[in-house]
Amino acid sequence: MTEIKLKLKKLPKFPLEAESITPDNFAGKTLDAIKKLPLYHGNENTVIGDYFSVSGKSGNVNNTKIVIDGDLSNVKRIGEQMSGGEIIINGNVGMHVGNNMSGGKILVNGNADDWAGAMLQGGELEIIGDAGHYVGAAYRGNWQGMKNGVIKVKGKVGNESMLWARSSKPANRWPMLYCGSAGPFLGTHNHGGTIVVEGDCDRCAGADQARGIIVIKGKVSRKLPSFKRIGEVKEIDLPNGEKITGKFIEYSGDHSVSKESTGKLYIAA
Amino acid sequence: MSNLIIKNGLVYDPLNNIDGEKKEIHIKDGVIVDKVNSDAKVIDASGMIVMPGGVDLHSHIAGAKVNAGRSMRPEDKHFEATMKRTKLTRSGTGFSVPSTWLTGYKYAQLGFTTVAEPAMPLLEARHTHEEFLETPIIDKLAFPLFGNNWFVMEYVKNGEIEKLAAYVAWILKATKGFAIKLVNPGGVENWAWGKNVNSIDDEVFHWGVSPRNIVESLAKANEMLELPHSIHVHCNNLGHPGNFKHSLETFELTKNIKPKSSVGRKTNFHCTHVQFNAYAGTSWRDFESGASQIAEYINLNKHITIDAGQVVFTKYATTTMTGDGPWEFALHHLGGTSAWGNKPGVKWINGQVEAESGSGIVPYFFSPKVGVNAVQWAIGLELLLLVKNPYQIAITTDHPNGAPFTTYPQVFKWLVDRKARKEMLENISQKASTATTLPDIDREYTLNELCIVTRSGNAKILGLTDRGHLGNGAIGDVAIYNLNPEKYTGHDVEKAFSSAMYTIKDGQIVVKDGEIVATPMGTLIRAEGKIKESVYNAMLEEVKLHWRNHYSINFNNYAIQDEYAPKEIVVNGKL
Repeated sequence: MTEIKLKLKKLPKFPLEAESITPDNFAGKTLDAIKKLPLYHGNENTVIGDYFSVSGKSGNVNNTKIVIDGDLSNVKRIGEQMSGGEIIINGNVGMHVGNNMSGGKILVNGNADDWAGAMLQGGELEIIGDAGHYVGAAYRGNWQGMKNGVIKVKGKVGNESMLWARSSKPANRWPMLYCGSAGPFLGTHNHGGTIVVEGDCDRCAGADQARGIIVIKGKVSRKLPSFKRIGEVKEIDLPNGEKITGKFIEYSGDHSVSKESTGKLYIAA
Repeated sequence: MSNLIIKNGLVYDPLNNIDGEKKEIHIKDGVIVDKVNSDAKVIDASGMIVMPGGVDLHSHIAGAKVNAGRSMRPEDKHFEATMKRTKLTRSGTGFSVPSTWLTGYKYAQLGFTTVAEPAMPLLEARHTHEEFLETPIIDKLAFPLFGNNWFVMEYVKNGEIEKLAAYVAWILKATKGFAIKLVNPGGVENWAWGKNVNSIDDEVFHWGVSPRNIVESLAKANEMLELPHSIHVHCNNLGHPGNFKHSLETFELTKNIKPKSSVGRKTNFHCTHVQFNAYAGTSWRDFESGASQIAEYINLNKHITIDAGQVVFTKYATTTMTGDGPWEFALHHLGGTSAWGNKPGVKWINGQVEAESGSGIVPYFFSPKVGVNAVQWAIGLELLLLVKNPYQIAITTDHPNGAPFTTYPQVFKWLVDRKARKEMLENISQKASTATTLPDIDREYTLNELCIVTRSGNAKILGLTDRGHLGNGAIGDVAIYNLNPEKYTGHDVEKAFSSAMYTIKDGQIVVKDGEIVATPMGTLIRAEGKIKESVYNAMLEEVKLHWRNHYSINFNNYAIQDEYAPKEIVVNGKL
């Protein structure tokens, strides 16, 4: 794997629109060419070289690893639409990291802002710290959000994460979200997403869930009344073959909108 | 304005019987002439084909419902559909409902220079024209909606055709409209009471008239006013299985009405997006094509023209929008064929425009794997291929209902290449092969015929004599495509027509090699009818009398001001 190192030279005044920082854009380019890739700063046309020092070497898409150092909490859209390779971010990162990505891997050694992994189509996004709101959510208006891939968040995810996730059995696509704890309205409008919460979850998990599985290993502040209690289970099978053991109460729902909902909600007993 | 000569190109100009001949086109001050001085700018079009600028006679590009569609679908702003700002062009986005600027640029890139917005609610005319003012390059027309208007129904009920004609004349003037548009005549008025009409003889509640009366009366009024275009009708029962019978009944209505117009129009009825009105069968289960019956009628009767309303499968859902409120409600509840499974769709807008019309908007995904959608795709092509006289049919996708206009080149591909059709039939639901006659059709369009159904014929159907051809006096709208007419496949045609080598608008090069190089503002084209002044004044008195009962705005604020059309062409005489 060939590695390219980016180091933030100065903090941007406004958020930087960094959708050009992806292995797809870097692949096969010389360092000079990479430095000249666009980076919008407000209405100003700047380039990567203005804000980052660049070193290393790029290969083909799947072979390229981008390591970024510095406080990127004001740098948005890193890894947008990437299809392969790897990005490692050492520090906090701004909004929309890895949105619409279809392959490859992003590792954030810090916190991520809102919309991390929004509309994920494949690949893996791992966040060591906390994530903001709308993790793996559908962008405004979409009824088909995260379709595939895995998001792992060690810490907390914010409100309305995994909004409108959608699996497909024929295409063997199973969107997954693992998180430490979750904010309200987790997995709203879920159509087949799988969510595992290691800790506690705020209110209204799985509102309007039609299909999919939500497993909460901690406490839930308020469960929706439109979920129907089925019974206690000791083992839960996830669509990716994984098994979760423990003592859980199984609910089906949400039955408030779709009477035939096959969605499942498991809460630790 | 500089002069222009287009040299060495193979010219297609069906209205002047020129079929792929090498010919020079001279443009002086934006108008095509015999000869210009030799100091003119020269375009070398060797190895390319030259056609008049494209004319789209039915495309929802501006107005209240288009804008509602934009705001209802933020997810329509896909990466692929986004255009970045350049020194010359504005940025824009939107896949199925592009922003106004994008609409103008994209039409120009396809070589189209004239586009008709076919559904303008009278009260929303100001909005439509405001969007026209922000739509660059192309010339625009708008068709005001008459089919469910209370004043229209009052005159129809009383049989006062002359006063009806006067009312139409006044509305065309007040809204700067071009032709009479009817959307589900009577049905949208019934929709205000939660119902629809199911046949052309159903009663419109409280008015005692039927769709039959409305269509006949407005057709008569149209000929009385000698308007350039015939009535433009979206038939009743659109989108329902078995509706081809109702379409044929509607076609019959104007059979004996004599066309009369200043431009020598010989037709008196334009049925629009017929694909949605050519369904046989009794339910969605035994759904099949009724295109051959429709085409048979059109081949036997010269009084009617149609446009296809072709469906094209796209990567993303399109936005259906029409003045047909009840149909959009039905579509919203068609769970089985929609993208979101077995419950009503995620979003739906219903609109009601006071005493005039209604509308509806629903996003819809045409899936090649769904039988009904595959049959719909085939029906559009069946119509285009079975109608023998290309001057009687036009290519449209009813943008954005069947697909966005940017998919036109794909339709061209299927028309000129039966192998491309066969390939498609093999890859989509088998219903397209079993429930339609498309697999048995061998016809392939020639480039000349393609020119007719995309420009020459369309201009003729609209009654625009100044475009759609390259003869003396025509406006200097020319499209040049990089295609070898000796040897081409469907794929070559798709590629060539997706991005014009040159688009010339009023003698100015606006697109060069697929890039926008100039962004002039287009012209508004409107029509005025001929009517006796005494009848006109009597009608106005009556309208003013009833105004307070019907409208929430003042009569004096109704007509839109001349500022909304800084550049306009008025077809037909004075009042």
